[in-house]
Amino acid sequence: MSGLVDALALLCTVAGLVAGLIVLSASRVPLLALGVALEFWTAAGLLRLAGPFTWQRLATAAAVVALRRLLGVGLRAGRGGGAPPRWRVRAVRASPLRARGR
Amino acid sequence: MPDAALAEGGRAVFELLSEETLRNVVDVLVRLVESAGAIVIFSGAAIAFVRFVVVAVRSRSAADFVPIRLDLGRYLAIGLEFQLASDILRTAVAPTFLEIGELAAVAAIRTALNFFLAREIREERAEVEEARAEAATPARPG
Repeated sequence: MSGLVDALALLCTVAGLVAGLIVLSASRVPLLALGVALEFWTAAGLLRLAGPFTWQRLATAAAVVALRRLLGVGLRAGRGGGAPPRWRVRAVRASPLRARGR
Repeated sequence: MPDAALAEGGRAVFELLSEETLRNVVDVLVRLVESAGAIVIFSGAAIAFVRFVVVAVRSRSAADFVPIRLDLGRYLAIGLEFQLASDILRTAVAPTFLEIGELAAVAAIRTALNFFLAREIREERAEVEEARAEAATPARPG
């Protein structure tokens, strides 16, 4: 059980790295790519916590949670008053859903 | 004679529901619920990864990645609920103080993450709605 959980967690860690790079190369928005990678790394941390308890696993999971919060605060601060980023507004404007009035 | 049979039956029931048996049953339940949480989390990550790759190949638009990230967050939240349920089950059998401390630490991390995750999903969704509303307003000429 522990070996399987560790293998799945490792897969999630690698998936986070690859997905982050894919999003970065496709969107050219580094913070979005970092957010995506952190999401996968959170999944990896949670999977590790499902295995046998060690303080190191707990510290890793806590560090990822803290990093997520830090990133969230940084994203909002860098955006200036919580306004949506320009790429998101542009993307929604170009979206076919807008033409249908949804 | 019936008293002796009653006493024998009572002893059998007590043995059946002994602390050892209860501990074993709870242990199996904890493993089941925790495995369910792990399966949900890993499935969510796998599905999100495939969707990220597909979107990166097809559209390459930053806005298309956000709903996938939100969905992954939802999977994580559901998996966390399962894991918190297993933590609650674990408290059914009172172990040593050290084990209670470890359980408290893990439960605290999971609860904090669940709280922040739910808040992030809510904020992100509100932001997408805000962007949609802004996009729906007609652009000024010039």
